[in-house]
Amino acid sequence: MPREKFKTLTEQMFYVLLCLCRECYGMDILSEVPKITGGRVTVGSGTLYNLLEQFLDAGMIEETKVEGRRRSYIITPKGRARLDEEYERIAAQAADYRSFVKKEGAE
Amino acid sequence: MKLARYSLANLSMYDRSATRKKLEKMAQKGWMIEKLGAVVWKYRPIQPQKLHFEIVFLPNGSVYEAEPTEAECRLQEFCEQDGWKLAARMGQVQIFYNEQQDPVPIETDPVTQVENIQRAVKKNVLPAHLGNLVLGAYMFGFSQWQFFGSPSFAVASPSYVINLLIGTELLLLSLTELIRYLYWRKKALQMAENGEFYEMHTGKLYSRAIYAVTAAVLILGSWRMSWVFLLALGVVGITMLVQHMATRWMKKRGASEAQNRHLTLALTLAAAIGTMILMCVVIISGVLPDSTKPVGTIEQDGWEMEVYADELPLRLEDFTEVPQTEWSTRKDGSETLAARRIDCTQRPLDMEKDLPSLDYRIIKTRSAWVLEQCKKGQLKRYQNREATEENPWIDYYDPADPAPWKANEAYARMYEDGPACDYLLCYDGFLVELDLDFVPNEAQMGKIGETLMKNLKR
Repeated sequence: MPREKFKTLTEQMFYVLLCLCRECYGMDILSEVPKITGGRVTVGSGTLYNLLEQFLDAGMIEETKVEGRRRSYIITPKGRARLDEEYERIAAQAADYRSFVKKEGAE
Repeated sequence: MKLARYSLANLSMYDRSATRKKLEKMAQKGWMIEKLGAVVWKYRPIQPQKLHFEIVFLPNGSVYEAEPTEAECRLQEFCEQDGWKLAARMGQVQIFYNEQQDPVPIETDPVTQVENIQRAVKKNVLPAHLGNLVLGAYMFGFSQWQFFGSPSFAVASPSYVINLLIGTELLLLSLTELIRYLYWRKKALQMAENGEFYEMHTGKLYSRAIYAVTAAVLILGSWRMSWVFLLALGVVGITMLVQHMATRWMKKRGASEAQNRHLTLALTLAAAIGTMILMCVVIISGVLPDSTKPVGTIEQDGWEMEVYADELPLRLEDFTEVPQTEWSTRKDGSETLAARRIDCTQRPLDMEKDLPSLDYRIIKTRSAWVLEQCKKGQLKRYQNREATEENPWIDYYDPADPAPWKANEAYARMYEDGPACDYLLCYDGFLVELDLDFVPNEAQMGKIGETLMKNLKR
């Protein structure tokens, strides 16, 4: 079943939105995501470009500054709500995992 | 040393790995992609080296933009952060290369990639395929209507064969591409859900099959239709040239994307319609080398009549007594790989005297099936046996004894008041639609059959 757009976020989408919780230039996200994840996650330049366009179209981020071709963005309340939802989902998964593994360990 | 190299365009939105491999191979041989075209790609010489290539689609890219757009420039800058340099671009297609040994890929999220390709396909590729599907269906449908409406005319008509071949190819290709897109989309979405990329590997077989089908269409289409087919190719060639030149000219003038697109489409349409009309005029005017030409003109009742002196396979003198007089004998027709049509007319120049004339059409073919369809088509045209309010004219073919005609089958056309002196005769390898001014006797029927078989077996 094809995913409804942004119903669940991929890892790339999650970290791009996370970076934009603080206003930053789009290009800086390329180096920011590996920093946050300790090199575990990288976002390709084409993927980042497309995600920024898609998030803008969906109203999940907005442009704050335009200096020539350098543009900075920040997450919108709609984007923040979506990011929070995704965090709750991941946290619930993590909690289920801990609870299940603990039960198994006790048995 | 060569300054440039060229290859046929080879890019599929659903299988970029083949194109990547080709570009990497060319780079190792010392050639870098420089310019993308719809049909031909150009390469420039470089130091042979190992490079990585990526093909990216920008949905809003357009071939009508005079300068790189803001979006294209921003994508380029993003990619340069990871060492990806722009090699060439055309419309939605951007090709990047990287000298690093293990560069970060341009696309790292399959869900985003699938979404991007879908947007690009929906904007340009899908409408083009749907347009080709409609055009192909129209051409194929029109050729079927031509065939079932009048098979004896259609099978020997170059326009029927061109419509059939090109319509069939367009229909098959566009259907195949639409099915490929739907299959790719379904698989790509499924795999993207699992975080995996998907590329449909069709290999060289698919593109070679397309070239083979196109070559077959060109060869079959040009079979014995040389001038007409060349004219048709001329129409296509001039239209494509006008489209290419218009786009380039508007880009040089710095026109906006919308202005360029609208003017190019208008000029292309005008060129297509104009050259098609010119082609029809050339064919009808009879200036083509294999067209029949008059040897003179005479005036009759204030009208100027053309006089011909073509050799006919059957003349009135072959089967009936006619007085000494001058005749205009015209032989015309056309030929395709399926059949040959010969239209013959013999008319007296002196219209004052009550002299007979002769008209007949011959369809010659090696295919018994084609001959049978032509016979059925002709019989179907005239089958009104009872007068009705809609069609008060009785006009039908009645089976006749073929023996006097020395034919396999014979049919005589009948009107309300008796025989119409029109006959449909079927022989091995050809049939004749004969239009006489009188009902022939058996001896005359025999002479007609013998003369036709002798002159047409050659």
